[in-house]
Amino acid sequence: MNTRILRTLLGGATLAASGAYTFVYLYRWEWNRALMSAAIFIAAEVAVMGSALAQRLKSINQRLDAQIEAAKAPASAVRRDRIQAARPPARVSFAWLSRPEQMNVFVPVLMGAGVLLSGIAWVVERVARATVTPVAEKGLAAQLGTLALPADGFVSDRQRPVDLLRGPIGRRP
Amino acid sequence: MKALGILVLAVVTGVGILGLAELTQNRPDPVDPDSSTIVTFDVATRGYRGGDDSAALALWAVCSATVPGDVTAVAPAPADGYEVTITPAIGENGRKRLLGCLEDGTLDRVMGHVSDFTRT
Repeated sequence: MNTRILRTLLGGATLAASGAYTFVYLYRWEWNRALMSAAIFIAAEVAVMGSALAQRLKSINQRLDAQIEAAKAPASAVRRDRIQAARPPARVSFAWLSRPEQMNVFVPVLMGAGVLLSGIAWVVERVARATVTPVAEKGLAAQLGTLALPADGFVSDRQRPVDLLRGPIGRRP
Repeated sequence: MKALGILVLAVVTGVGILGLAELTQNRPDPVDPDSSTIVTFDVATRGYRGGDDSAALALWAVCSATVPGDVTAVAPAPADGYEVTITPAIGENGRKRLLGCLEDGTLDRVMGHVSDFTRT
């Protein structure tokens, strides 16, 4: 039998018997026995109450232990949850864009930026047109200069057969 | 339902208290001057230094105060034990008081046992 049930039955029987006999002895005018029975009743009451309180404390202790164990086990998960909970709200770079009702602000800004960028592009295009062609022609002419034919031709009067062994055609001593 | 339970509990508690008061209350008994009560009792002792006779005397000296009237000294009973005579006869309440005193642990190491109440 379960110890707890046995203890409860024993305590209850002692309480009932001692309480009943207290009044029986009072009825019989046996004061000493009534006093003794009442003392047994009080002792049994204290024991039953102590047992009940101990059982209650044990239950609370077990519950607290379970909570502590549950808190210990997923420590990383708990920390992660707390970090996520403490995370600052995501920053919105263009907060006014997140609200569709304020698109009337976006359109003029976009149009203004477009006009500004178009103006800058027109200026850049004009400057490039004015400067790129002459510079490019000048550079091309300089690069083509190395391909120009020798001014006095490939063969001279002083050309000797051994000159062919000295270097490329057209090289001057 | 809860109120009904509380009401029943209150009624039972009240009846119990009144019943206990009725059962344990002390009252004067009717007196018949020409009557007497002979109480026969015995004593059991355990380690009492004076012996049974001395224990019976001591026990009666204490318990005779619980009854009204004149009481005789403790004398050996014809059969066994001791007997005393109370004049006038005691009633039901006096009998309960005397019985409770004699059979309770009134004296250390002495236990009385009343074997007979005779009303004459």
